[in-house]
Amino acid sequence: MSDSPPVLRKRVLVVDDDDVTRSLTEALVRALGHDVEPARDGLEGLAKLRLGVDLVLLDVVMPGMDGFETCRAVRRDTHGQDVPIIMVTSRASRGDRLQAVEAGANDFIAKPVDETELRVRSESLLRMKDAQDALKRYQVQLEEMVEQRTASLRQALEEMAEAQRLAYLAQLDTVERLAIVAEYKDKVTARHIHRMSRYCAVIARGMGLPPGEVELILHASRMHDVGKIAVPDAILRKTSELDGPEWDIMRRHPTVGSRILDNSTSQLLEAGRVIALHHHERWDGAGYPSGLSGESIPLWGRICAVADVFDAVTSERPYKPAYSNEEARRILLEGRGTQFDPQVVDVFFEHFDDILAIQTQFEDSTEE
Amino acid sequence: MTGDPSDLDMGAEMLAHLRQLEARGSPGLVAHVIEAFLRDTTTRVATLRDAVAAGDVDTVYRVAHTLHGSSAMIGASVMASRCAELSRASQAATLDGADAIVEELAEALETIRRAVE
Repeated sequence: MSDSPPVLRKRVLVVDDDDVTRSLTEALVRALGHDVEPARDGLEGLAKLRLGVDLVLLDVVMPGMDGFETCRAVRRDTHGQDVPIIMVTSRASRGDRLQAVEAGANDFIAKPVDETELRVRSESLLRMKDAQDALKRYQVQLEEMVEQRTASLRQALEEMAEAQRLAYLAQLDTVERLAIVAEYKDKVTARHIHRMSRYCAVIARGMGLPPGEVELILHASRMHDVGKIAVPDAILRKTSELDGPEWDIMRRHPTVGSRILDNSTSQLLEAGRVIALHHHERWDGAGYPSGLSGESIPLWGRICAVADVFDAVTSERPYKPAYSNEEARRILLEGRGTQFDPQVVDVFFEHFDDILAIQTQFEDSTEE
Repeated sequence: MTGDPSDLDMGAEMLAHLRQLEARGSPGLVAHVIEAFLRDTTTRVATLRDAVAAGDVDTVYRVAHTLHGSSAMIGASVMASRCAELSRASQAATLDGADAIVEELAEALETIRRAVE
């Protein structure tokens, strides 16, 4: 005890109905260097808990509320649940001690109160109270810190999400520009790209792909013909049939497009690469550039093949007029299982109303 | 037991102790404690006398208990031990010989009064 630092000035509540006992106990507490709040009975003691009391010296036999009852009431009070309580009595039978502990008292002192005994017992309890208070303050600090950290983390996450949104928008912007480049070359209208990418999304949704993948296909499919940048205008705009060497050049555009979009960390550009590379493969293996067949052709490529052909057939091109939807339907059904994945064709026609709505909404206009 | 000398000694020692305590942060303590003790004990002795006469063991117990505490605190040990006897007797619900003890308490009080005045 002697090497512990001295307990600083504390506020001690002395509850005793006897004037002499209370006055002497108060004087002892003051002599130990603490402040005193006297109370003549349990009720006054309870009221004074609000002052912020560090220790209670509580008489047992009092008129009205006795010491045990007061002790229990102190423990129920929010200001008193943790405050150390020493019961002071001239009668300290074993039963009284048990009753005091049950009521929530921490210690017992016999009357007449001995100064040394009071000092030793009160100091150990005051130290305990100090430690409890420090722990409570630490907990509050910790909670505040956690609150602050949580707020910072939330902000960081929001900023990250915002950065991701901006990055995604930047990617969409890139895609838009790539698509525009291909359009310039091919004389294919912006509306073809709009229609074709939306057809792809309708098919993807109809096949039960998750919404994130549907959106990915929607945007990525816009880049399917980006490789046409490398095809000379003379070939792209030729109104008659292409000859052998011309076809060889034309058939390079999937590979070129794939090379343009290659090695990107962007999921969107990577999806664009897959679509650009595989949108001219055929279900029966007679397509290009790799001659893949069936399900070895990536699904996104199979979807894009159907959407692209439907729009090409129903649009005017340098080498052909626009065919009717009936004609396009016939061509697609004819290619079902040979040129096209039969399931993709089926889903396309299952959602044909949606396809037609898109076709109407993004119709080629004469002004364009 | 008129003017028990040990209680007188206690009185002197008690006064010295009280003065020491007073000097350590409680001005006016001695005068207040002596005045309160004489005042309250006078009332309590009278109450005890009436309660014993009426056979009111509860009152005898409560008052004897409180007086035991205050006399012990002030250092009036003879008085304190008489009060302890009385409260033990009343707890056992017997007031045999209680009136004699009350009179001893009254005499002890007067001894203390003379000693401090």
